[in-house]
Amino acid sequence: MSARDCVVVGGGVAGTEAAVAIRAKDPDARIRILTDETWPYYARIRLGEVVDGRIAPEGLFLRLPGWYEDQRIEVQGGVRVERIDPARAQVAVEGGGRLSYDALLLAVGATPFVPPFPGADLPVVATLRRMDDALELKRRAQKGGACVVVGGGLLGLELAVSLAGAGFRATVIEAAPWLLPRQVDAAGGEVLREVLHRRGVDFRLASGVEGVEAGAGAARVTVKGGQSLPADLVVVSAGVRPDVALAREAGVAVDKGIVVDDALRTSAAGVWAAGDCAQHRTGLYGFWSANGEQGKAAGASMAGAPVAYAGSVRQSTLKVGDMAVFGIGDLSAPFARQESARDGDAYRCIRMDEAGRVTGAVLIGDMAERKALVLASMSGRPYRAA
Amino acid sequence: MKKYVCLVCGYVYDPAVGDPVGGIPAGTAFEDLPDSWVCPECGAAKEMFEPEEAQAGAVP
Repeated sequence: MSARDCVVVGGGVAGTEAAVAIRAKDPDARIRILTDETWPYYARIRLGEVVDGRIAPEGLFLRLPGWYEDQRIEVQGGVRVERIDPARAQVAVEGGGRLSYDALLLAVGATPFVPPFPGADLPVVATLRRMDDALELKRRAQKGGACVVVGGGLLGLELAVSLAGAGFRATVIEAAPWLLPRQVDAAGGEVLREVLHRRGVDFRLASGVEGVEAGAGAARVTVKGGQSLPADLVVVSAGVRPDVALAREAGVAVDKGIVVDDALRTSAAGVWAAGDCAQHRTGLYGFWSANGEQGKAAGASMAGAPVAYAGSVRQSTLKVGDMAVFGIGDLSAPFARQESARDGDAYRCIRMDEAGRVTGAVLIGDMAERKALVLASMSGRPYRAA
Repeated sequence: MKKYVCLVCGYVYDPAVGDPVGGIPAGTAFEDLPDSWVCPECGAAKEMFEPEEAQAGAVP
């Protein structure tokens, strides 16, 4: 029997962890990663540090040169996959090449969502997803000026602080009446707004972008109610959409993401999916640790090992300068009781069900309880503050 | 030597491997990492790490 031929589309955390897992289970497999990135595998969630110059791109690389050769993983960078053909077990790449596979992983990620406001396609409007985006934002920030960030979620806030650090006057526009509406309650959102305001970020809450107009100088961003803000840069941080086109065009089942089972298999034989593009049960995760776990599970399954991925713990941490914001679970979920308290710039809110299990929690500033909350959530045991 | 897991992003620090990209040679115990060391994947500080078996033990 010839060696198993595994092709991974996407070289981010899901694709890389999958390749490692395949190699761990199958020393003889041929493993190829096809990626449209020209940069080596890097820490995407730290791109804000490149925007404000805290770190050089090389500082975010996650593997030494030579590591892939040692692992016998072939990486083909700058390659766009045009089509997958599960019936023939082939992948078509741009320029006409075709590759055959025994097992194919789609770890193709997601694309920033830009709401369709007038002017959304102007050059002044940007997003942050890739290393090249980060370097472009850094370059534009050297001229200084005013910047509008559309979206006050975790990434939007982190980005606003990075842009302020990079030399912009930053204003965040958020549709909800307070910041981080899914992770934080109103009181927590207010703590955050005050702290970030002191760091040079302004806010328009319960607002929205009506349109962007380019002019001779700065562009104008019209917000709900008709007011307008000058902007030398508009960055949209309104979430991402899973990249499902390759799967959909090949007839692979797609809902919000590419639908996978507990072994990360798609509806097509020989095709797996993991990471930002994948939808496991009802959920899109869209964060680093879940993507890595899915990649590991998919790789093991591709190598023929039994796999039962039951989902990942939802948690996220935002670092804004020296201030940390941590959220776990879902603050919009039903809960039986809550503990919340503010102490200066620190805030905690913990919501529990009748059995005392955490349904959702947020910590701002003081992270002492974070570890206990993560462990309690992973174990499903009732939570007792230390 | 124990492996340590980053509770923020899931990165595993394995002393047998070290953090070669971050300049930490193989064979460096987690306890001996400099205080300035951060998780290479997410930038979290050392205190966000937990011994691997303790974490695994928490899952029923």
